[in-house]
Amino acid sequence: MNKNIFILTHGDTGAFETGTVPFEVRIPLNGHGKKSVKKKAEVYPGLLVADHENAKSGDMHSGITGIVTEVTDTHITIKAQELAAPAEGEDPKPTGVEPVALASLEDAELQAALKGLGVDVRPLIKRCDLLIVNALNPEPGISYAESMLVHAKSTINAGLDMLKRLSPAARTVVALPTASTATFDGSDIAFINPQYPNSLDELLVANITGKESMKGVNVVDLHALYNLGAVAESGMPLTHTVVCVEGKNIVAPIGTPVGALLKEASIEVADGDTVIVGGPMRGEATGDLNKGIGKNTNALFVMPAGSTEPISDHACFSCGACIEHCPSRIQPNMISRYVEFNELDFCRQENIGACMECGLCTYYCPARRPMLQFIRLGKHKIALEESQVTACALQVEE
Amino acid sequence: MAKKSLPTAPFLTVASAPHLHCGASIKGMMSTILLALLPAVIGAVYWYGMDAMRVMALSIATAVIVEALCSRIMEKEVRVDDFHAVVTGLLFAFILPAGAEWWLVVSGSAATMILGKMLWGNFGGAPISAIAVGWAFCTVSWPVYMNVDATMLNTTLVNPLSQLKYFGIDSIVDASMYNYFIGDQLGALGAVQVGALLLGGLILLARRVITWEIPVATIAAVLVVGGIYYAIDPELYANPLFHLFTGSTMLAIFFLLTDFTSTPNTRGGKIVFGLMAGFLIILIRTYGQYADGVLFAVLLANMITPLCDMIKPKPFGAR
Ligand code: SF4
Ligand code: SF4
Repeated sequence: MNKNIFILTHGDTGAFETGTVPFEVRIPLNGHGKKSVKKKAEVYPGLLVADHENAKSGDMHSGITGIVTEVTDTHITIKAQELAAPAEGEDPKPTGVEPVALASLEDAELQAALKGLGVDVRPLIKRCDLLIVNALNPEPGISYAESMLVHAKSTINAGLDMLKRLSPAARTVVALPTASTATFDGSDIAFINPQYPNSLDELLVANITGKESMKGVNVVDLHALYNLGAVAESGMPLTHTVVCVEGKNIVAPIGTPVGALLKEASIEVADGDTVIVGGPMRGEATGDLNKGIGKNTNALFVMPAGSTEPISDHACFSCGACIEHCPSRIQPNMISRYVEFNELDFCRQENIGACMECGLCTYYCPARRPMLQFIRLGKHKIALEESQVTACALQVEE
Repeated sequence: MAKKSLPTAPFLTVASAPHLHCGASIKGMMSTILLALLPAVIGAVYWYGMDAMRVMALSIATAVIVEALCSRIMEKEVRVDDFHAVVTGLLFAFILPAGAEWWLVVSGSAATMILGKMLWGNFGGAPISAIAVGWAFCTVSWPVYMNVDATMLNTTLVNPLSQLKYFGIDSIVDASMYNYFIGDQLGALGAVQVGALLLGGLILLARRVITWEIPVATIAAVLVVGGIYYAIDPELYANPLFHLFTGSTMLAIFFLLTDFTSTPNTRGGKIVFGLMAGFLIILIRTYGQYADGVLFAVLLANMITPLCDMIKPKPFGAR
C-alpha cells in the first residue's frame, strides 16, 4: 500500500499567489451577534461587519469594496463593486481603515485590540508552561507550510513575537519537519518526521515532551500564527488568509466562495464530485460551492466522482487493519460497533476519548466502514449524556 | 437574490472524513488469497490428478450456491461477488481426501457455509473457523469417508502421520523432508502441498493480507514443543520439522489460523494465539486419537480468541 501519500513535505517553497478579487464574498459568522452593517450598506476593506459578544473571539471585517446584499445569522454577503463617487460638495468617502498601533499596548488592552482586528485570542492565551508552534503541514496534500516558512518569514516572526507577548508560556518550541533550515530567535526547535499523522497536536506533543499528555502545553498551528502575524505586522484587520487549493497556495479574502477559489486554481467541478473544505483526512465535504471560506480554512480539495469506493454498511470482519494503524492504540473496530448499537459504556471502556480523529482507521478499512464518523458520533453522544447528568446533578443540589 | 450570481452549481456528493482510502477491499483481499492458493491447487492436481480438480470444483460451486441461497432466504444482500465463498469452498476442499465422495463434498461444503458463516449473519460474524467447523462436521458424521488412508487405496503415496501413529518412529526414519516439502505424501488433497502453501503464505505476507505474528508464533511453538519431545526421546517422538512438513500444519499456519473473523486482532493476542495453536498441534498429534490433529487445534485455538483479544496495549495518554 502506498505510504508516500502520507509524506507531509512537498519541497514547495514558492511564493503565495494572490487571488483575484472575487465578485462576491460570503463572510461566515459563528455566533457573531451584532452585525455592524445593514443590507445595501457600502463597505470597503477592513470595515467591521460583525462583532462577537465574546471578548476573546475575533470580529469580522470586509475584505473587499462593495455593497452588502444579504445579512443572515450565518453569513454576510458582499457584492464586489466600485462605490459610487461622492456627490458634489460631499466629503470623499473612506476607502480603508487606519492601522492600530499594537506595539504600545499590553495585556487586556492588547487582547481587546486584537479581538477587534479579527483575531481569535482564546487559543493563543491558554494557560501553559510550554508553547509549541506546529509548523508541519497539517495533512497529506496540504502544502502551505514550507512556503510560509520561507516567503512569509517576516509575517511568521511578527506572529511569533506577538504570540510570545500573549502566551504565559515560559518556553517556546517550534516543531519543524526534519531537514528544514528555518531558524527562530529565542525559540527552541524540534524536528518531527514529516509523515501523517505526526502533525497531529497530540503526537507532536508526545514527540517533543516524551509524555502522552497535553497538560501544560499549548499548540498553535502555523496557519493561525500567520493570521496573527499579518495583523501584528500591519495593525490592520484580518481580512485575508492562505488557502491551499489542491496544492496551489492562494491568499484570498475571507468569505471567498469555494467555487470561486476552485475556479482560480483552474479546477473543474463536475456532478458527483466531492468538494472538501479542509484536508482530505479530516476536512468536511460541502454541498455548496457558494460557501465562503473562514479564517481557519486552510485547504480545499476536490475528489472526482468514483475516485474511491463509497462507504458501506458491511459488518466488520475483524481483519485488524484499523487496530494496526491506530496511533491511539485503541480498537476502532470494536468502538464503532459499540456506537452502532448505542453501547456508550463499552465505548468508554474501550477509551473512545483517546481517539485523536486522524482518520487512519477508516482509510485502511477494507470493508469501508465509516469508523471516524461513528467515533465522532459516539463522542458526541457521550458528551450529551454527560451534560445531561451534570444538569440533573445541578438540579438536585438546588 | 445573490445566489444567482454563480452559475448553477453542480450536484455535489457529500461524504464524511476521511475522503481518501487505501483501496483495499474484501474482494481484493480474497483475490489475493486465491492467488496465494494457486500454487497449492497446481500441486494438488499434479499429485492427485483430475480427482482433486473434481473435489475442488464441487466444493467451490456448492459454497457459492449455498451462500447465495442463504442470503436470499435471510433477505440479505447477496455478496458472493466478494469471492469469500470461493475461498472458503476451496479451503474446505483442501482438507478433503482427493477420493472424497461427491455427497461428502457437497454436504461438507454446505455445512461449512451454513454453520461456519451464514448462521452468524454473514462474513464477519463467525467466532470459529468455518473450515474447521466443516471438517468437524464431516469427520464426526462420516469418519471412514474422511479418512485419507481408507479412501485413497489406489495411490502409491504414503501417509507419514498414519505411519508414525500406527507403525512407530521407525517407519519414518528415512523419510525425506524434501519429498514432504514438494507434496510427495498422502494426505488431504491441498493441505499436504507444503512448499506451495508456504509460497502462498509468503505472498499473503508480502501483500499484507495477513501479518507475521500468527504464522511466526505457530511455527515457533511447533518447533519448540516438538523439539522438547524430540529431545526427551528421539526414539519415540518425531523430529519437529516432520510436524511442520506433514498433514495440514502449513495450511493451518497461513490460511486457517490467520482467518480474519475467528482470530485475535491485537498484536499480543495474535502471538499468544499462535503459540497456543502450535502447542495444541503437537499435543494432539502426540496423544490424540486423530493422526493429524491440526484442525482440532484450530478449533480449540479459536475458543481462546476472545481471551487473546483482551491482551491489548495501553491507549494513548493512559497512565
Ligand atoms: S481516527 Fe481511528 S485510527 Fe485515528 S486515532 Fe481515532 S480510532 Fe485511531
Ligand atoms: S479495518 Fe474494518 S474490517 Fe478490518 S477490523 Fe477494522 S473495522 Fe473491521
